[in-house]
Amino acid sequence: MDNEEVEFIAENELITIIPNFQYKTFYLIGGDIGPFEPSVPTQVPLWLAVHFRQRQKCRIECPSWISVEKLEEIMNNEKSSELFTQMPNAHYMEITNVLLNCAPQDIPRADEVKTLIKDIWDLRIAKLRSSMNEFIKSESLHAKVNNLTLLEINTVRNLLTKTLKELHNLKQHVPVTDE
Amino acid sequence: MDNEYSNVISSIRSINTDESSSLSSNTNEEEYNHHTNGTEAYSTHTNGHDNFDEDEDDEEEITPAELIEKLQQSWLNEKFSPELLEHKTAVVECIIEQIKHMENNIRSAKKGDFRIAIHKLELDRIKFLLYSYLRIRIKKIEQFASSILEEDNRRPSNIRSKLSAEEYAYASEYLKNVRAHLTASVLEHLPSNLQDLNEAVTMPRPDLDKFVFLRTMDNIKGILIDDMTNDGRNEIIDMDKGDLYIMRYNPIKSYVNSGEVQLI
Repeated sequence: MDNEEVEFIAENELITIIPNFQYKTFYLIGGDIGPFEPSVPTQVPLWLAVHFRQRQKCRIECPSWISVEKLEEIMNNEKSSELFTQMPNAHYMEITNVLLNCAPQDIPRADEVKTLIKDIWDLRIAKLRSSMNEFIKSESLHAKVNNLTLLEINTVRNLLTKTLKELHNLKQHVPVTDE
Repeated sequence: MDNEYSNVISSIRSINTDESSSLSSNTNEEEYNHHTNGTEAYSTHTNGHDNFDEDEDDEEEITPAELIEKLQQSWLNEKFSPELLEHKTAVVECIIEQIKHMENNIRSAKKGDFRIAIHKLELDRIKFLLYSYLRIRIKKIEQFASSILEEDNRRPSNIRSKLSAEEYAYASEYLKNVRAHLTASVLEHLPSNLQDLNEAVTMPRPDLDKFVFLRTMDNIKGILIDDMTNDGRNEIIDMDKGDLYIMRYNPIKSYVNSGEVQLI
């Protein structure tokens, strides 16, 4: 799977926008959107929010977890926990990236947010690498990977699934030693 | 085949007739207002629908939004499962109907209408899902044509084929051409005792021992994970709803079809 496809999935997430135009409800196949009143917040899928924002038709109201305080807290939790902590959104990385690219002005202290998200990501990926190592050494048949996000899974998918498969093949050809 | 889907198709029609009042009104503001009535009518109508998917026994009503969700799930399952899964004929047909319908509305809309770009954007997203889903299937069909067709011919008549009618035709034709090509380019020039292609041995088969990531959509008890090695180390696990796992495809393959497991 390409990372672009993960982002494609993330673009279905709902985001609050503050439109600067007036319009009646849209009847999309995926559901009704709107109505739009100037300065009245309303929820739209991320892909539509980006479309409006690029045309200066709205401001994006940042999700509450995209704030320096909240992200610092998440970062500290992640540091102190041995397991993966639950992220505020299953697509935290993709959403932040999309918003930072299309509407950095709408995010308070965008630079710090960018650094924090990157730090959280690096921390989790480092954790993921070391737990992959342990998993492979333990020769388990399965592993629970709760709280990993799709993008994180996608980052290690090829390496991990292929490694496990090769080990599985090798093990199948080990002769029985007891007899 | 026709009988099997007649029910589905009639239900598609009804979904669309309900919707048409709202969607076709794209052209004209006055009509657009009708939609409010239209939506109410729509929700009541949907409740009255016959089941959308014949082969799932439980009755199911579905909104277009849920349809897209289902397509996305089928897309991901197909993407990650090593073997060809059952073709989601009902979902695909309903989605195509929805796309056609929306395209008609866009065509009849006034030029420069603010909404056109947005509807087109949504259509592009849905089409991407649909095309990608079908392409992944075609790729698998080409790769495993002989084993898929062999399995299809062996299946009891009460089990539905994994292939759609078009896919079946494509697979048969493809296999025929590959065989003809192999025969003409190589086998014919070999000594007669080496001319047998011996497909039972040479045919490519999907690797069911591939590792996959999955999310459980339900509580599933007692999954036997067989080590498949000589030391016979087996494990039985229970999975809770919403858990994520990595494991071999084989032990959970029946749950993918039933929807209890979603590949991710």
